[in-house]
Amino acid sequence: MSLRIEGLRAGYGEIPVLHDVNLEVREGEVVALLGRNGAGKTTLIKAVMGMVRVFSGSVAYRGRELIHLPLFRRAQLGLGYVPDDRRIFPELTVRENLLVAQRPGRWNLEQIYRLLPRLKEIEHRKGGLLSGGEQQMLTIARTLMTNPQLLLLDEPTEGLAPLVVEEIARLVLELKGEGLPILLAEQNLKFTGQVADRAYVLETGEVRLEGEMEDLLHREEVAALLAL
Amino acid sequence: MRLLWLFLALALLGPWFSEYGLKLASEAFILGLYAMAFNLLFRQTGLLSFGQAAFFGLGAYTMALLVARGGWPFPATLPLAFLISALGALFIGFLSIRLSRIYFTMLTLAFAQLLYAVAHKWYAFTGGDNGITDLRPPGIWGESLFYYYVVLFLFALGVLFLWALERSPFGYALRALRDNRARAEAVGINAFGHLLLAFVISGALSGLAGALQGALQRSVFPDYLFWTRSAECILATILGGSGVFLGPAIGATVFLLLRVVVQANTEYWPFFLGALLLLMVLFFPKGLGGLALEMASRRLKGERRGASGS
Repeated sequence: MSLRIEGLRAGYGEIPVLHDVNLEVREGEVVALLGRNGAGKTTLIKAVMGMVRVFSGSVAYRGRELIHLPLFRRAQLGLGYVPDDRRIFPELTVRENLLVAQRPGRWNLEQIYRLLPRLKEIEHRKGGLLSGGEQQMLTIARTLMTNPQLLLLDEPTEGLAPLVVEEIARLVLELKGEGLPILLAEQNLKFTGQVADRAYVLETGEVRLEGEMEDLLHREEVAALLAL
Repeated sequence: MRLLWLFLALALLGPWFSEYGLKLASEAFILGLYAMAFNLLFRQTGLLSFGQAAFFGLGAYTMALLVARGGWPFPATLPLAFLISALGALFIGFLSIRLSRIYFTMLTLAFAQLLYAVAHKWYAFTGGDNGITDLRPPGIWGESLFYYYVVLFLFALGVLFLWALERSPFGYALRALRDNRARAEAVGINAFGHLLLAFVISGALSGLAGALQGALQRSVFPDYLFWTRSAECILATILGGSGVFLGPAIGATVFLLLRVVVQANTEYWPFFLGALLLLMVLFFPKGLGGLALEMASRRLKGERRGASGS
């Protein structure tokens, strides 16, 4: 088991956003978090990284309780977080953005450039000068440089052109093929259908539905919960 | 590579300086090293320390006390000045780096002023206002030309170290933290540890500069710890441009030259300095170093355009 969340209540300040959330990500599995804006997807991912307040419950990664560890320790343990605002380090070049995250393992500069040749072409450009799609690629690549054992992707396709979304789907499938477990927050049902094995549908901070992705794709309640 | 040429040129210049010129140039290297140490924090991590004098003074007093009270030979005190300032920075940094921005700045200022008060009041140990005088280093170390080379060597060493640091993963991590702390921590960077280490390096180099300055002036007074001393490295950095690697050192040189010229002609050095800083900040926020780079790149572009046109 890569990630197990039990009875999680978490939120901001005094206000809980998530209520009693239970969720599992098994090794090698891509799990999607579906839901509208404000359903709690981002909060859930941030709770796994320790970036929001946790009131009660448990977040265990490979059997180890994370609740009291600071953000950087969780990253060092192997949690790779790709935030939704995809803010790279604007003052660092593409290459520096990658090197700053490097930790030993399968992924290094050479491997990343092989996987995403576009980044090699622009390696000396400052992060702040990249297009949205390039920034998203770089954010994912930077997270891979930390050699994560569990990838947390927060709305990776948000606001991106269809062609770039295809590229990201290809990338996610490639990582899945390598056995990297992924927890993915998304609103794009088509994209999610391509990559995810299972999904949880959130509404107002609670899990309403869960199941195999293929089944969920054809259920009307899912469409209703996503208001598509 | 270009840095090495610069150091070589400065080394070759040595014998051509007058006695006074050597002193002034040594002082410029010292202030330059001090300002570059400050700028490691300011430029790379975005932390504005207003208490660098604490480390400058710690270094100077370590050297002076060991020489005057302990009878140590001057050269042997330098590593210790470096180390004691590093320890001081470890302590002060540990307490202040937890605080954000303005509180960090105020706390560093407060610690430096605290040390100033100690040095000022503790007559039995520091000599209070009378300072510690008669610190002429023995033998060849007391000669201006030799001392010029000592200072130049340590300045070069410090600058090369900072240069390498900026291009190391540690340097990237510092700038990543400055850009966005949460983002940096999310890739596993320990923000507190990195900032503390940068603070300690900056403090240690400042302390080395302080020890060198004390030996150059043959005396150490409590004003080595006073806040105006903290301001000096900031002024030099603004003057030279914090965004340019050698900017603070350029600023330090200009600062000292201006002070000599202005003080020879008027009593209004502080007024003149204030007016100059106002002009710099308002019209040339990138400093003299930034200005020079801009002019150079403009000329380069002009040449290219000329070449393609012909």
